[in-house]
Amino acid sequence: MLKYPILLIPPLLIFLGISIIISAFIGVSGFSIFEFDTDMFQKIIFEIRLPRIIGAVLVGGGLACAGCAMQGLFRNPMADPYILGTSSGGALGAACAIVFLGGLFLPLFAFIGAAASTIVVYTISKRNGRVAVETILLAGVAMSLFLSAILSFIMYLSGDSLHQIMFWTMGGLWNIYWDNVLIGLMIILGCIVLFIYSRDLNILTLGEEEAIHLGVNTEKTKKILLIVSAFITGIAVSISGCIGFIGLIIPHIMRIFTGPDHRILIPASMIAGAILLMWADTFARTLPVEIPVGIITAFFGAPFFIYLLKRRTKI
Amino acid sequence: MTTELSAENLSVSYGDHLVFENLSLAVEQGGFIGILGPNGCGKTTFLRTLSRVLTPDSGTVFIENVDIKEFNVKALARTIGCVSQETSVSFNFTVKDIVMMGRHPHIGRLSPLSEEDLKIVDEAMKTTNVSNLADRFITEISGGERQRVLIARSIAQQPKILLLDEPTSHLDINHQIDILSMIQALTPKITVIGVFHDLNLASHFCDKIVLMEKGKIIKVGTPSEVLTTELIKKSFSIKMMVTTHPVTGKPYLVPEYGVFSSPNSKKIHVISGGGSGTEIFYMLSMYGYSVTAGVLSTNDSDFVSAKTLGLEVISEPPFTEISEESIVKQKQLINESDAVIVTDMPVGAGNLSNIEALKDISAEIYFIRSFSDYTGGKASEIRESLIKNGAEVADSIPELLKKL
Repeated sequence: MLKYPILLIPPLLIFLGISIIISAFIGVSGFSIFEFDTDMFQKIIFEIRLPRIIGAVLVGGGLACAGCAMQGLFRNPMADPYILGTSSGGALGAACAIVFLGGLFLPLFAFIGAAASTIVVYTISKRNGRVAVETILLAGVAMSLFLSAILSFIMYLSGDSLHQIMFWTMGGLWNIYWDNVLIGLMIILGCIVLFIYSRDLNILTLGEEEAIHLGVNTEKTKKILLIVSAFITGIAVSISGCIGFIGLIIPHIMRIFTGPDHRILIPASMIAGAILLMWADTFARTLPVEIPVGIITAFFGAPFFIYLLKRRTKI
Repeated sequence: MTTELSAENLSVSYGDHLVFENLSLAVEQGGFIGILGPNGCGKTTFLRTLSRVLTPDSGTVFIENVDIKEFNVKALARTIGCVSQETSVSFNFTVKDIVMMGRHPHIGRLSPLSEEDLKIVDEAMKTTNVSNLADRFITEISGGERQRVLIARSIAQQPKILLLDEPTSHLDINHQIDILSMIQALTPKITVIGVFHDLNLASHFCDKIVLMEKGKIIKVGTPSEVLTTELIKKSFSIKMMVTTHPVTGKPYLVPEYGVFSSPNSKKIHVISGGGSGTEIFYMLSMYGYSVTAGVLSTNDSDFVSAKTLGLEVISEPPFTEISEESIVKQKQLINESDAVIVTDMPVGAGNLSNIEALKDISAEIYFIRSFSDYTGGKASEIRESLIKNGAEVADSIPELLKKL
């Protein structure tokens, strides 16, 4: 942990800015930076690469931010944004759109699937107006398994669409244009709400009863954190499919540097998640054969995280 | 005195299980109130109802005559602070972070801590003596330190009432006393209501005690009014000896443990004094011997323990010589006994006749170690001659029991 964790934020922001610019000039189009004044190259940058880059930034930041909130709320290091069944719900919605509508309205279906499964999990866990976080955790797991079963069944019957569904569930950013980015901007709103509740979240990590004693309206706070996280995740899923790893690991990595204070952890994770997903996607789209970015985040991120865990005591 | 907090006709149940019904209690401002009772009597549930963590099925809690339902969450946290039995913190916040959380109910959602807030936090850490831990992780300090940090947090909350749920039950005795003294010093500025395990700590620190039994309050009063053998028996179903603490004068309770004897027909008379006989009385009773004792002075602790065990005792008032009458009675008891045991008591002019009584008796005689002779050798002389005639000497109580 750093002595003044807040000092981590400005360099991260600067790095993010520089990364966006550099990434915009990297790609398989064959143009070099010196051909910037050609119309074709500008078109590639502003209409193909930039929306995709901004999309990656929003999705990466949103997932990391929601991951922080979920880990804090559930006091469980294994919690991630998909814990409410969001990913399997979204995947099922997307699969339905692919199989039955030939891919029409796919983002909308994915969002509806994600939102619906979250609402069901939340309703199951509600009792006498109170939500028990332990129940949410278990209900979320059960819901995910149930929806995965349906998804598998649809995939089994899907024939030619199988590859498309598979590709979608692994997560990727190849279908992002400016209108997706506009929707994605709502992720920022969600992150701001989570940030506003970061001190309440700090206190909630001590346990709900402690939080009540310290003047936190636990039921209201839990409800807001859950709904906003699910909203962020739902939008992320609708844009880019189920990109794993970021929501789970980025909060852990950043916690090593910033400590558990969510007032710093949330913004730091947001920026780091954005940087990571953006670079992973840059890598994904420059490979000879484009592969789903979810594979890259996990393939490089997991060993890096293990490395950090091993040397954590020295930081 | 004004009433700070009152509970009126509270009833709470978990599902079908009724924890308590129609419980009422009024607490005056500035007191240190201890709630005592056996596990499962509802004392923790009662405390959780007072802090509004639990909503009662019926009844109302009032703070300064205002229904606690009327308070919003932050206002309640500014009024009631709470320290639980054991708080596990899984995230590595620093000690200072944790204490600063106590200011949460006083500040707006986005506003940072003001100079004033930081001063209050520092003050609270000084009060509980944790300033030196400020930058340590809460996950890496000892249990005693952690409780002190949590109390500091409650102090930083600046509540009017502090609720404690067995705040020291996991701690060593030195930390228990340390922390309870610190809490006591918070009164009368803060009204303290605590659930306690340890009757003697409650007796020492609380000025009022609420004794509970199976969801009922059976007595409210000062420690000496509440901590009596009868009431403790009623609440805890165990016989306790209530004595007075030799230094503080407060009630001090000791369990009697009780005698679970196996029948044994042998009769034994014990000659002791100065507390040297207590353990022997108890052990012999445990082994089922019928034990008699004396002659003892009534201010001797041996007398108290023999009486408590229900033994037949020959006694004399304090500081008087052993009377002829007692000597006759003692002779009679010794003659009826199979054995006589003489402990390693001090022997002086006052109780020399106890030793003289051992001459010419038929019962077996056992000495435990050797007594301290303050008679100029007279007592030792008798002892020597008795040993010559077959009296045995044991070095310890187990050895004695083996010889018997």
